[in-house]
Amino acid sequence: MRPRLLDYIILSGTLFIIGIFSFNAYGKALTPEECIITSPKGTWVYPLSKDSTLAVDGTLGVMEIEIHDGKVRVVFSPCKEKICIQTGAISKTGTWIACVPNRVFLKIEGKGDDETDTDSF
Amino acid sequence: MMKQTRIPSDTLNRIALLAGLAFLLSAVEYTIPKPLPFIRLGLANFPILIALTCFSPPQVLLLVVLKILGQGLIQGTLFSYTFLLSASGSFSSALVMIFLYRWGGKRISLIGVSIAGALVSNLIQIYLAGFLIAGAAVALIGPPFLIIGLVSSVFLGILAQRFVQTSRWVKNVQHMDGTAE
Repeated sequence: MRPRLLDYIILSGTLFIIGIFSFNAYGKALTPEECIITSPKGTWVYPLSKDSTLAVDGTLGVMEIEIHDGKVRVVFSPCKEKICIQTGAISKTGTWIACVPNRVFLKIEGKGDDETDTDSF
Repeated sequence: MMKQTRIPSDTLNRIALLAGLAFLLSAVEYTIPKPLPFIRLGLANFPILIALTCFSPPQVLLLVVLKILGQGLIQGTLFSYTFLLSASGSFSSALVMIFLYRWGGKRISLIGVSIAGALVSNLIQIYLAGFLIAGAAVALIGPPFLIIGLVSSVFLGILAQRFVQTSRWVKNVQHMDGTAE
């Protein structure tokens, strides 16, 4: 008993389809899409795909935020503790940086739905 | 008057035997614990693979209908939407398997037929489940669902191919009334 030509074709076709499905399901969902910045002056949404340097007004003063290579970090903050700067760069959906004294909050969110809860099945 | 198609009682007995085997395998599969209720091994596909080599397409479809009903009855899903999913999956996969087996001839073995059957059944179920119940979130369980289907269908295909090549029962049926009518 040996597999024949069409068996191999069907097997590779199936693997290809599984590949496409996996890419659609996980490839996109895990890519963080945007950074949401909340400050006393308002809320802004920036795409992570575009590098930029932002100046955000907080209660203490102007805070400098950098988006680079899909990562966000606080470069400068007028606050005392500098915890926001020490947090470093964030890039994953659901992670955040908060500067409490300056009342600025950064959060990364995916564009699609929230994570699926397997319990609901 | 409609022309009545007669199935010889010998053949009918054999289809019934395979249907019985499908019921048994459905019951066995039902007892195997699964992390998600949608995930299937498709053990009951084994008799269908055997039937492809013994019976004509309408007879195989008759067996498929029996299998679908029996499975619904055993798993207690006969009048629920999951039944709709598994019924349409089984039926479309049977059509694809019949086509591949007839058209492929010597270029295909039951392994390829089994893989294609499982794939079609799972794709249809994913599509319908997304359409009927869960929405786009179904895409997330798609890959594990398809991978398990692939692995189990390869094993079932190998098993069925071996069985068909060595079984005297299958040989008798094939000699008695030919593979096609």
